[in-house]
Amino acid sequence: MNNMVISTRIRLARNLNGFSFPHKLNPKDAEEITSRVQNALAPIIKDFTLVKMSDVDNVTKQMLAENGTISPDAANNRLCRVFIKKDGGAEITVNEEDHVRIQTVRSDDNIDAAFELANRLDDLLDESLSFAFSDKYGYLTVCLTNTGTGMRASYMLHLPMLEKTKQIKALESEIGRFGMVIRGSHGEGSEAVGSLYQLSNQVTLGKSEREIINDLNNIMKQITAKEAALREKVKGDAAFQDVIFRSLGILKFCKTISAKEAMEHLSNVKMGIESGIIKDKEDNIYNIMTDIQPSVIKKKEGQALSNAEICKKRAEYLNNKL
Amino acid sequence: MLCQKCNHNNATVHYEQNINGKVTKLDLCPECAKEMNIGMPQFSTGFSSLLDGFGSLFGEMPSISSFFDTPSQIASTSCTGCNTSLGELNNSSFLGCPDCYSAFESLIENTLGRCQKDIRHTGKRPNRLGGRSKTEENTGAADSGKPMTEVEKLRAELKEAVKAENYEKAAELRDKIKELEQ
Repeated sequence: MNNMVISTRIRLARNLNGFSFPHKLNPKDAEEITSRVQNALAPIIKDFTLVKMSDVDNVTKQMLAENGTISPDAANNRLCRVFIKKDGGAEITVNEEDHVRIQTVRSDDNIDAAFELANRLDDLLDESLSFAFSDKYGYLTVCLTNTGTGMRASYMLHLPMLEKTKQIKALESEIGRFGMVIRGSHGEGSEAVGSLYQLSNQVTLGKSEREIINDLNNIMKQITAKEAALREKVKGDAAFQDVIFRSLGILKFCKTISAKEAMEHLSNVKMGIESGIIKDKEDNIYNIMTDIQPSVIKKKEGQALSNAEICKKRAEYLNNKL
Repeated sequence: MLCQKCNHNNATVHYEQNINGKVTKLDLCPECAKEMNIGMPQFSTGFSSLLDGFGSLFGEMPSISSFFDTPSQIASTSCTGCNTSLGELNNSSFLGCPDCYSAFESLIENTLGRCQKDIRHTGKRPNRLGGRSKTEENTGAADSGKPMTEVEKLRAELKEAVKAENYEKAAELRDKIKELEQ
């Protein structure tokens, strides 16, 4: 497996005939849609937990937003509901931007498997829900950037060398020509923390799901090959190794550290392990990256922690892990 | 150029309407344009901000002019399904319900034409409408979730080999594909 691929995601946007879209929906209709989705999921509903945004605490919301389960907007939307698969890997969001969004995630590069699961969930919902669809435009969505397949397929990629050599911008315009987009790991407008980038299709209409995935794979392979070549070139340089070991040192011995700084050093350490420069560590760095997010620390250590206390807890955790 | 309405002032507002491909042009002075509610800048904001970021993909985006018969019709056009008005659409770039797609068809078609690859869907379909995608019907693949066939895989590799200018490998792959297709 390609170790520059952190995770893979498929999202399908669907809407129901006969209802206004969520931003125009009254609470009664919103409930009706939730119960229809719930009924449609009946055969597998025991595998899912229903989370209501109106009932859930802020830290849980923050966590769901940080790990990409819901958008930050959805966290503040009281009518939004999420069916989360208990063993992970899939969720169905109701009344977010669209009535229904099926999302599957894998922490590897098996995009076909992610798509297959999303497709199966879509088939199941399609059996009893009347999805808004036009012969010409395909699945009808709230925003015209999703119309057609309603599909957003994406890879989260770790690209420290392309970032350090300032090639991401050039990449952006290059892949734009193929209807793809690359941006900071937390979606639109976000900064790339820890050199994590999300590569996804921008075009959803005029290509089939299979064509979109094939094109995305093609671009992903080219990008990661470029990243690998850059790493290979500098692998033996003392200056490069210095950056990596300094990062390791900071993570081992810091006493207080922000998430942003920690992410940067973890990114360097991950690259060091993958390049064979750091030899005695296993590559579980992405899990560590997830564990040091503010919401995860709060959930573990107590919700009332101040920012300074979170930074201390984070440093302790990193000292132990590395 | 003189304003076509008052035939007096200089025409600085150039208005174009496109009704199912039939293009009519109007050249107006700012006063007459204002009177007719034409060319107000807020008209295009919503949908053009939706297109931000597509610049590199499709070149310079023209702003959306109106697509309806007369200005009075523009003001009164709204979706019968959810009452979304054209003004609302322009401000938020969010459609109000599935019926908006037919209520604002020409506007939507134009926007899709700019922000998507094509305006024809070729992917998956709901089961009640036949289920399979058009491309799959053409290639005969039964399930859109199905992994690539051997030939498809080789074709993808061939594409990459050509891109990487590895012509030796490309020739090899081409022969393999030929063999499999016979």
